[in-house]
Amino acid sequence: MTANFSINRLGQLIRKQWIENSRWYLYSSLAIVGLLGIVFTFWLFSNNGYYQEDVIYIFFLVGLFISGAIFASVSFSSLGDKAKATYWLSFPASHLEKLLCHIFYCVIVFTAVYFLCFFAVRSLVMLYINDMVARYPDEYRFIPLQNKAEFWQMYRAFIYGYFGVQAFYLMGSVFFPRLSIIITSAVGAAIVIIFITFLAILNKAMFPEQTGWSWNIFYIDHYQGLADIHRYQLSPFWQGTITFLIKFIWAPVFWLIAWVRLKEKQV
Amino acid sequence: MIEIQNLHFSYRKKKVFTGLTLSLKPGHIYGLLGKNGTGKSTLLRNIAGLLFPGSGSVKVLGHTPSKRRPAFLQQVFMVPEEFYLPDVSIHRFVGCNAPFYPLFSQEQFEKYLKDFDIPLSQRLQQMSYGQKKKMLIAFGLACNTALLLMDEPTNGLDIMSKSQFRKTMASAVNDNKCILISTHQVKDLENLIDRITIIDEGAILFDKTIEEINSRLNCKVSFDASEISNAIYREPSMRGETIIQLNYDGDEGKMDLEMLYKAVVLRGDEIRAVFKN
Repeated sequence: MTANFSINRLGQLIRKQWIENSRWYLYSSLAIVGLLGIVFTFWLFSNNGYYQEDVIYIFFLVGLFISGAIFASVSFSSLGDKAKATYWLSFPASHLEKLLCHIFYCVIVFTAVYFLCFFAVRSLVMLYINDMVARYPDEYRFIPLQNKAEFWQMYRAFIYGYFGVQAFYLMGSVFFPRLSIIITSAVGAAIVIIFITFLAILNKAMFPEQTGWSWNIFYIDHYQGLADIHRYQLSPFWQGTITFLIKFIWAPVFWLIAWVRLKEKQV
Repeated sequence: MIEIQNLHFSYRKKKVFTGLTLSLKPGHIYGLLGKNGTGKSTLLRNIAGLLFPGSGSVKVLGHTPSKRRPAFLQQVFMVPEEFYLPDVSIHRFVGCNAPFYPLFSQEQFEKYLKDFDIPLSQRLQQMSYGQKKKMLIAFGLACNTALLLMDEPTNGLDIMSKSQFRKTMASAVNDNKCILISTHQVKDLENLIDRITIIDEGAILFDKTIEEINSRLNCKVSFDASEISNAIYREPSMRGETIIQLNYDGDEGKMDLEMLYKAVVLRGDEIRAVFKN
């Protein structure tokens, strides 16, 4: 326990956040269930009885990304209102504890609630599909996941990405407490466009002749003939380190920036 | 308790303070007066750590407010002019906020609520603005923080509540506590504050204890033409002229704070000259 961090105070803060916002959290959960219900209903009745399991998981991911971003982007919306910001900033807890409290609700509580809501709705959907397939086997078909290992590998990458995206929107809500979701999305899009442009410029600068080369962050291949490929690559250690950082560094970096910005907030 | 040295603060290009220096001690209720837009609220927010000085230093109880450390925040309570209360019952509000203030007294809180005639059963968002404000004042007092900052606390309170506010505040101050009240409703603080600080154009225009003021100045209604012409400040009233004059006989009188405020703003040099020696 230090002057700026106390487990006891963090626990009290989480409790306070729950007491003051439980009604909003409940309505949000109901909204998630409702929206998932609408999406699945539309899907069930617009597929002529042909259902693929991987579509269900794509719905899961899309819903998780969108609702996670929305939830994270309202985390610090109180900072956009003078009265609420005064209440929030003058409250006797450190910026670190206040940020951790929001991270707890975004990362753990929201994600857990979303899982529960999704799988509750999915269970009902599967009940319906199984029932229809059993009753009308000629008209209804359910296609389970085909390549499970590959699918789950890709799925895990998206889940890592989700925590990064959510942290980005949480950071955005500190920078832009008003209209956070819109402004943060615009900034995110601008960053992606700048990054892609940078890669294109880099590619042109490194390989002016444009043909015979391909590269990514781990290796560069030089094709000098159909069977003559020279590969220049990072060592397995650096490949492993970079992969680890790409998977896990985004969320902590965005949280760190959010924490620094919170300390600078004035109202 | 509060040491402000050479404080400079501005909102982008608009300068608010240009070298303000002020020292406040525990055991007093300070009245911070000034015209609209002179920086009263800004000063309170600098003291509370909600705004950061451009340059100069603000020290409160040995802490730098802008760091907003928990050890500092739990010794300071602010009742802002625009305040927010969550949509919960009083019981729940206290349950989740009071643990953060180590000296909070439930007994005192209930007493203050009773004094202010606030029903315990209501949800905060169902209360009127005045009721909410009284609840917040009661909570702030019951937190027993060393420093209590209040920005226009009597705004929105009815006549009876204002009277109760003065009584409650007077009973709440002690040797370890400092209360700083910012207001432009000078009358509401009469018989309550024991030091008056007037700020104008980002600087301290006047800063004296009520005792000092009463020992040097006298406020009364006069019909005497020579007395009126010699007065430092005068104002026609329903019954003759209300004047502020030198306290010749040294008897402690009762100062009309509104008159004093106007005198300081309009006849600042003459008023300050009285306190020079």
